[in-house]
Amino acid sequence: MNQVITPPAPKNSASKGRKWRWFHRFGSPAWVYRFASNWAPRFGVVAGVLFLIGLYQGLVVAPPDYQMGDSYRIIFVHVPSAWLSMFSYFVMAVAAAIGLVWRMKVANITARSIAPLGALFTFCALVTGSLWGKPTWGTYWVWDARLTSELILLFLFIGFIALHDAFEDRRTAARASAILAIVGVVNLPIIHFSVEWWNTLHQGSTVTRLDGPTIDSRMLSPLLIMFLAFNFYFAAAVLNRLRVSLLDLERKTNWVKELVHG
Amino acid sequence: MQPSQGTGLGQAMIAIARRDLLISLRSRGEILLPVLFFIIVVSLFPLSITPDPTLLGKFGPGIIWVAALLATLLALDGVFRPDYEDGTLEQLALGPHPLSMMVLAKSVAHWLVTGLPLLIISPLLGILMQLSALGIKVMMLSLLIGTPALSLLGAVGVGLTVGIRKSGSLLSLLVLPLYVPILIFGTGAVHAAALGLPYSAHLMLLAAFSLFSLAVCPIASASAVRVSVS
Amino acid sequence: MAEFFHMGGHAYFIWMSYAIVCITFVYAFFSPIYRHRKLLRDLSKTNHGGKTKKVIATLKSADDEFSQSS
Repeated sequence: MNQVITPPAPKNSASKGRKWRWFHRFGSPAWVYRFASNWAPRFGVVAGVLFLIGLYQGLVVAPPDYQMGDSYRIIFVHVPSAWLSMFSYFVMAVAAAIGLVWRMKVANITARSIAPLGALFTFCALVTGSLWGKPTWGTYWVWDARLTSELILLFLFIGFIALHDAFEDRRTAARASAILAIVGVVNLPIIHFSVEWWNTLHQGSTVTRLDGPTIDSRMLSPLLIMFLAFNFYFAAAVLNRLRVSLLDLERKTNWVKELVHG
Repeated sequence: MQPSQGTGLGQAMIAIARRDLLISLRSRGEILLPVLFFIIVVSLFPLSITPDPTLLGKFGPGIIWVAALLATLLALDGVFRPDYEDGTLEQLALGPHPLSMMVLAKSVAHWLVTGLPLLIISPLLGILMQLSALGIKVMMLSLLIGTPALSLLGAVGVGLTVGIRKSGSLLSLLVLPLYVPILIFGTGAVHAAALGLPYSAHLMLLAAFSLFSLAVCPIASASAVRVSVS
Repeated sequence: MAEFFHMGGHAYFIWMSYAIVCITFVYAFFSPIYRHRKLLRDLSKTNHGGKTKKVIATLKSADDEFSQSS
């Protein structure tokens, strides 16, 4: 651990300096604040446009499924939410690990900014999954592998937030929750595998699978567009949260004072 | 890291495990309480669900495993909390030996104090839950393989929360989701045995998980302890 | 149009899930923006020396009074 903690090498040669420059930039709260202020609205606009196209295609253009009728249209929000919930846990853990190893304040704040969004995506995946389950399975909740994994993921997100906020000292909070996130991200595939395995033992393959290869292109294209839209939304929302957290936590520093006065 | 002249790593680990064991043995409640808790929780289920033998045989393994999880959780705080409060933990962190190994010794002591008694008492509960002889055997095997992982993973959670004053429910929030694979593989083995199916795959997966925890958890809990004492 | 909203009998489930996702997403996107705006306003109020200036002014006037009286 000790040899990892040393910060990236000081700029002794020009090439090295250039190589690390982008990394150092991300270490500067002022630069990241400006970056977030610039890019969050753009990502937001892209996400909004993609949402509109995806919604139109998904709700109007795509034909009803021959088996499930119209209820399958929920997957256009369910599947991207589910994917993004896992992805955001991964990104959160990576950010937390960077914060832990290089003592990078911005990375710590990023991890904490992602956590509620990840919990939100998990919540959306759970709610839409059970709303899809009612017409498909006849009940709101089935102990299906994906839903169960999402439920545990929600607990992991809440655990991260709860642990982080239980500490008074910001640095201790960041380091402790980073360790939890890393343990969680190592465990997540195992949990996922065990749940999947448990599910096949208990339920067989009665659950309808949507990810078949023979999917109509008019159904596939809105799914892909919504997928892109969700990712852009994620980027925009994280930057938005990051921006306000940076401003809040750095209020005593010069760059915030300059920003506010000028 | 250079071990000091006085004690080798192995000696230090044994000394720590012995010390923790002695402290727990001296206050008998610490060993008896989780076991009593285990028995009481299990015996509540026939009262709340049904005393029907066939149904109990079905639910039994899951009930016993969940009770074992909760009993482990109950005693978990004792792994680091007393040492944190009197400063021993800080000394260990500053000491000459790798902290991960010291933490491992403490996890072993925790397992000897909680996991082992649960394992010993579990046949009795198996009988209460109407498990077959084979079922009891497999359940004991699964507990033997799985409970060390409970102690190891639990130590990470305690290491993270020991610096927080009221950490009881937070600890369970952090640790229980991580226990899910152990629960699934452990109960899966007993269920498979009850149905007359091969159960070795379940136990193998459980063993793999435990070995993986053995390799990873001491490092994670050592860094957690470092964060908490700093 | 009515058929579109009817969604082959699954209207409740579909519109409910889209509505929940929509509401949570809009909230999660705009609440940080709102907080940011509010924070900037608060910071400019407190940092711009509203309070400090007042304190300095009172100190100065007290000082003036003191020097006048002596």
